[in-house]
Amino acid sequence: MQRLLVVWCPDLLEEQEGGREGRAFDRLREAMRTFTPGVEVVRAGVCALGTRGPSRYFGGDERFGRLLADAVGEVEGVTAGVAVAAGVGVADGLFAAVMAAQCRETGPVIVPPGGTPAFLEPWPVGTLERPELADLLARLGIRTLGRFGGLPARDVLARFGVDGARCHRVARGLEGELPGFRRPPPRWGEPGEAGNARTSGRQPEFWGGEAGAAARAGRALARVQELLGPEAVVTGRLQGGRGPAERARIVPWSGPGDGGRQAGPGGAGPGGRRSGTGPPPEPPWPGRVPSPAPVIVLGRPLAAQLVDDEGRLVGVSGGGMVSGAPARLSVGGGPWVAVTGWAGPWPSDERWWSVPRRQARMQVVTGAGVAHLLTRERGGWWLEGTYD
Amino acid sequence: MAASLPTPTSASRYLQGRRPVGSGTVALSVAARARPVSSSREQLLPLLPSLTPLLPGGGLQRGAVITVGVGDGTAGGGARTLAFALLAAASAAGSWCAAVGAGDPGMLAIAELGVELERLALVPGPGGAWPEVTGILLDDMDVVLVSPPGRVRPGVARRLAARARQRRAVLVVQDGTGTWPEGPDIRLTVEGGGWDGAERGHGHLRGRHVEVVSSGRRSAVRGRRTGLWLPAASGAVTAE
Repeated sequence: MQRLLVVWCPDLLEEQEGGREGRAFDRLREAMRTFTPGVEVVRAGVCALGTRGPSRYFGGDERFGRLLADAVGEVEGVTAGVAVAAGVGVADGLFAAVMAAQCRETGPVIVPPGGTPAFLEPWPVGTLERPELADLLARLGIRTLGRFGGLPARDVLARFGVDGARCHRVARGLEGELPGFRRPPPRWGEPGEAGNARTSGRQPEFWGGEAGAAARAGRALARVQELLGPEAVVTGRLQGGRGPAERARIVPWSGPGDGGRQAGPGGAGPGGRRSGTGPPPEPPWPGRVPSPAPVIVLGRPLAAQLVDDEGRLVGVSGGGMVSGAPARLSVGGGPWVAVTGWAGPWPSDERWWSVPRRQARMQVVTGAGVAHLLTRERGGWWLEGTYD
Repeated sequence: MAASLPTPTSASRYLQGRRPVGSGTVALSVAARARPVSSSREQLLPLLPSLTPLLPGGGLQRGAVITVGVGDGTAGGGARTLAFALLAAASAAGSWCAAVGAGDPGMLAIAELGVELERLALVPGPGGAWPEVTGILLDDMDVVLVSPPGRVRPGVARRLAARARQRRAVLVVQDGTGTWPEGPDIRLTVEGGGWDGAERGHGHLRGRHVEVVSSGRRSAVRGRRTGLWLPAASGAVTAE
């Protein structure tokens, strides 16, 4: 389950006329983006980012949470004409992280790894946002997530159906979030995409006619999730960044109907679809490798060796020059193959957060006609993707 | 550990009065199971304009099995790019698509090909359950792309082909050399594949030129060779 940091701004949950809330929220997101570009708007007034990389870099969740809370704190007070207060929480799974952020403590609330089930126990079942379920549970005398989680899973499935069973898994901390929890407002999506969303002429009715197809697809995917586990089904979301893995994240499939109702961080809803082909226009990212992108992007890059014709490891200088022309490539300790063409490097000095960290990418074509995307980082080369 | 953490005193203000999220329940209800007649009536799902010469009728025939492979059977030859490109126009037009066993997919490249990510669900690592997963998805998705981990048993291939035909879904098989034992309705084979643009340190990858050979039983496009940029500099697929 993904470990997430959530910033929760109670004053910005609803946008009033004039859009001041959206502008204030943008300021908060900018402050967060100095740490990582991967800030996702979960809902109006709620955004999240994965802590795995940043926390490792900054010395743990506590320290990273504190740094981020300080950065957010500088934006607090009166911003863009609205009063802004923010809570910061870190936990396994989006649901628990949102709860942690809502504790309104003076500092960030860090639920330790593995601590999500115990943390969730005292919260009321109403936090699941299923009024009918909460109502039924209340009649059974069950008012907290801990009590709900104590019911046998089999009985929950039989009594409350598939959605109830997923709520049950979330309440027990076995699953990170509920389907439909992410509802990014179009107005606050990624720059560029939101604009398209407003100007696109598509009508909601067009997709409304496809509701049956969406329901069937959701049913099939739920069956696959029952078979293999909820994490087995994923989809992609476009966002800002430099490398292909940053620019299109792989995220868990978040449930039936979601796809037809909401987009990723862009939040282009059914009424405002972008025209359909290709990613949305985005602000320029220095160090970004031009299109096309590799159609294979490794979840865990493979160690590689790229040497010049004298067998020396190819280095990249601070000025973005290679130490020698790449001549041979070996991936994962495999056989050497000849390099027949190469392009780059594309250095990106500031990769994830504000502390400089050098990284460079190169495209390499081998004698077999296969093109790879390699990354130079931490003194070595890594195979990041392949253009199959 | 959790004892030192704050605990809620009441239902949080954040969640009070928020609109309930009911769609998950609605989508799974029995009432929603009825197949919309209109969508199953269209026999051909759309293709990207550059791909229409590849398939008879210029579209994805519902109920058909299409295999996509490369001439010499090696990875890196463009089979995966072509397989995802086949999904692009259909997904953009509202069809639901799934990819089973795609391993480590490059979602950005898939989006650049024109696939609508909102209607593409992936099961990257189904393991030995891939036939079962593919069967489940053929029941209710419009297009299912499967990359089998190895040679497929004839019985499994026959069952999946029959299921696609029965459910009016399109089954696209990313085919290694001889992975798929049955004769597909259409076989697409990518040949050639020189990359353009990566000089020795200059420029960047701008595209790969290939020829796609269409073949198959009773096929109007049998033996046709189509030159393509797979992909072109934009990341999309264009005619040469």
